[in-house]
Parts: sequence; C-alpha cells; structure tokens
Amino acid sequence: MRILVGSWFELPSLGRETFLALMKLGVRYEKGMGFKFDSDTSIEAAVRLLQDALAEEVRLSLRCYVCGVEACSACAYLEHCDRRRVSPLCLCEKHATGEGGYETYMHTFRNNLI
Amino acid sequence: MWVEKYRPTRLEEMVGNEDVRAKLVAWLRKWKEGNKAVILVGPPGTGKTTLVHLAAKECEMNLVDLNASDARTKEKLVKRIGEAVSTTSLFGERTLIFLDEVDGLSGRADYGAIEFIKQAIKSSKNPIVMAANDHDADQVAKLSDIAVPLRFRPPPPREMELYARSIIEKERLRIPDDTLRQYVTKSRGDIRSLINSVQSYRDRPGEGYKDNYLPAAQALNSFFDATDAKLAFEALRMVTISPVEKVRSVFTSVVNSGLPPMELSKSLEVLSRADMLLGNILRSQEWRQLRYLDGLLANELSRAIGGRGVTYREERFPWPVQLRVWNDSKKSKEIARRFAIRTRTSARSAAAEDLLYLLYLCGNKRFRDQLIRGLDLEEGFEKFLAKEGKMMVEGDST
Repeated sequence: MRILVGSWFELPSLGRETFLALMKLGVRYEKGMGFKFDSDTSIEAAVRLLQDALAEEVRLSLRCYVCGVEACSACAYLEHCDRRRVSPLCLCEKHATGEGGYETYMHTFRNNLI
Repeated sequence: MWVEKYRPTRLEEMVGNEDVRAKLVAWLRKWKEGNKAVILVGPPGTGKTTLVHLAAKECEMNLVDLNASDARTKEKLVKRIGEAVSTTSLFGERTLIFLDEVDGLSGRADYGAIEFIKQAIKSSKNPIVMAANDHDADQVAKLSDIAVPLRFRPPPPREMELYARSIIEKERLRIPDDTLRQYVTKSRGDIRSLINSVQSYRDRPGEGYKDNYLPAAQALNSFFDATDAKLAFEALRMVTISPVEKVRSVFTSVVNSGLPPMELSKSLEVLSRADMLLGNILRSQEWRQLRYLDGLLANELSRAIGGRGVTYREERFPWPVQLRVWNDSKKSKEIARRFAIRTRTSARSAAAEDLLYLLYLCGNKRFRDQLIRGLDLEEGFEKFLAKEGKMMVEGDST
C-alpha cells in the first residue's frame, strides 16, 4: 500500500481497536474523506501498525511543499530517505534543483505564514 | 565557522518542519492568559531551539530561555523564570518563556519542578514553550495534559541539499553533486553536521566524509560477532540508534537467537542490569554514564554470547502482541492501585513489591475469587488473573 503523507487515503475495515490505536497515534480521520497522516501523526508507529494490520508493506511518499505534487519519484535520495522519520513535507525535482529554489521555498513559507 | 555564519535569522530560512513552524507562530499570535503551553518534541540537532528564538523574533516578543536540566528544582525555576511568569511589561509586550530540555527535569515530587511548571502554565501572563528530546520521557507525559505537543523531525534530504546549495552558492564553492549527496545522506538530518562537511570540503577538497557511525544492523552484528570486549565496545559506540533502542534491539536479538538456556539466562541477567542503568541515566540525565552502559554490555554480555551466532533483529513486536502487553499492563496497574487503597500503601510499592505475590497466589482459584471480590474487580480481570497465576505457578515448578 502506498500513502502520500498529507493526503487522504482509504483503508479497509480493520476493527475498532486498530481504528482507536490509529487515532491515538495522531492519524486524522474524516467521514467521507478517509484517513490522513500529517505533522501530528506518529508516522513510524502508524506505519508499523498498518503493516501488521494489513499484512502488507506500507510505502510512504511525501508532497512538495511548494506545489503539492508527489515529490519522491525520481528523487536521488529515495533509498536513503527514511520517510517515516523525516518531517512530512519535501520538495519535488523542479523546486529542489531549479534555479532560485531556496528563494521560492522561503517565499512559500512566508506566504503560508501570513 | 559556517554553522554560525549561516545560522538562520528569519523563520523562512530554516528548512523542514514547515507545519510546526507555522503552527508555533499562529499559536503565539493567538495566545491568551490561561491557554495551554506548547511542548516541542524531537531529536537533538533538528532546530527546536532555533525555531523558538526565531518565532519570538517573528512575533516581536522578548525571550527568557532556560535549559531546564540546569535548573531542576522548583527553587531554581522560581528564581530564573518566576518574574517572567507573573509580570507583563509596562507597554504590554509579551515575553516568551522557553524551557529547553524539560525531559532533564527531576521527576521527584519533592523537588517540585514539574508541579511548579504546571502551576506556572495555568497562571502565566506570558506564553510558555518547552522542548524535549525524548517523547517517551516521564516528564513529557506528566506535562501532556497542559501542553500541546508539536513533533519536530529531521528535514528530508532534498531540503537539506537545498539549504547546503544556498550556502555553496554564497561561498562560490564548487562541489560535485555526488559528493554533496554523500554529505547529505551521511548527515542524517543534522544540518550542523552537513554545513561542517561542506566547510571542510572547502578546506580539504580531496578528503571524503569521515563516518564514525554504522547502521544498527551492521554495528550490532559486529557486536554479536566480537570475540573480545574491546571490539564489542567499539562496535557499540558506532551504533546510530538511541541508547533505549540499542538495549531493546540487543534484547530482541538475544531472545530470538535460540541460545542455550544457561547462556540465555546469563544474557538476560546482564540486560536487566543494563536496563536499570539506562533507567537511572534517563532519570538523572547523566549522559556521561552511557559509556558504562556500553561497557557493561561489551564486557559481560559479549562474554556470554560473543561468537555464538546471535544476529541482529529489529526491535519490533507485532501489533497484537503490543496490544496484549498494553492491556495486561493496564490491568496490572489497576490491580496494584486498588490493592494500595485497600492496604493503605502507595500504588508504587504495591506494584513493585506486592503485585508479584498476588499474581502468584492467583494460581489458586479460591484466592483469585477472594481477590476479585475484595478489590471489586470487573469481569475481564478473572481471565487475566487466571492466566497470570497459571503462568507463574508453572514457571515456578519448572
């Protein structure tokens, strides 16, 4: 199963106890939308729990902070980046390596702050 | 030093934890008397302290900061932050009170540090932000009902690279992409380490990254294979995981190794002592003692298991097992609590001294029924007590 951190995803029914454990780990749930991992989620523990409950591997992808697209495809750090432990937003290829990337990043943060 | 030269001076210059940075500023701007505090929890070197300093600047607040592990008692805290808690400036400017490393505070009730902070948060005329490295520390748990936790994590590698490139550009330095990526990967989310590597490249371009650390699996397998204490000690010093994870991983590896009973028993005895030592270190925050922890494992555990085919297992129990352990532990605590009330002792001493005997005696159905009635235990406890009692009686007879 693949989860894009910061985006809604669906899960099959895993029982009340697993649901409560996910909530305790800070996984967000909204009826009609599904589940979401965000900065308040204990992502590492939630992934372990889901892997055990689903009996399948859970792979995480991060979103680009600047443009919101999935950022992990074609990333040079894909093998070395522990996405369960790092902060949950990243940068896509364009905004990580393009000219003026750092300025764009700072500008985005400043805009989001206001 | 480039670490100082390029220390962020505005919030947007930091990388990683974007949501947390924005949330802290929003919280500070909306803060009113009587609001909860905030506790930033995350590993060292990820920028918690820098964030608080920059957030105070962003919100035009004065800052009073204190490393809580240097002022562990109520008296010291009152002296250092008492005034900031109870006063505002003449012109209504707020002061941000920052208590760093609160997981280093004394947990002892008679020192009163935690109680003082709780009271201070309720009555403070200024916002209080705390920071802690260890999410599982008792002190963090004790503060959780009056402080909003914000998790701090290492920035992802691409953001680290972006930050490093901004410095490289300003310094007009040329570093091959491969080398920079190697620095980013090896720095493992520690920006300071990355900047130091980039700076040392400028000074000695031919020199590669000097890595003194190994992944847990590699280092612990070297530890298990070591044939003498010195090699075992060196292997343990190279592990990148936290001391708690280290002890748990060694424990998990040992219990799953199929060691003969005598060796297993000796190993578990050493691990039990290591666990107690680690508990003392975490409580006292005397991190220098960590070398004794590694020494204990290297000298005594390695002697019992060295070269006997133990291999690294990730510290991990399946979810159903974790759930069972949590539920059982909840029941044990509840029994100890009720027993303490009935016998007018402390819950702590009931749990530490009496519970074991109670569970042993619960192997006898008559006693079990009497205990359930006497402590007014609910339905689910009968099954738990029967299981524990049976296990303890059987364990005793073998």
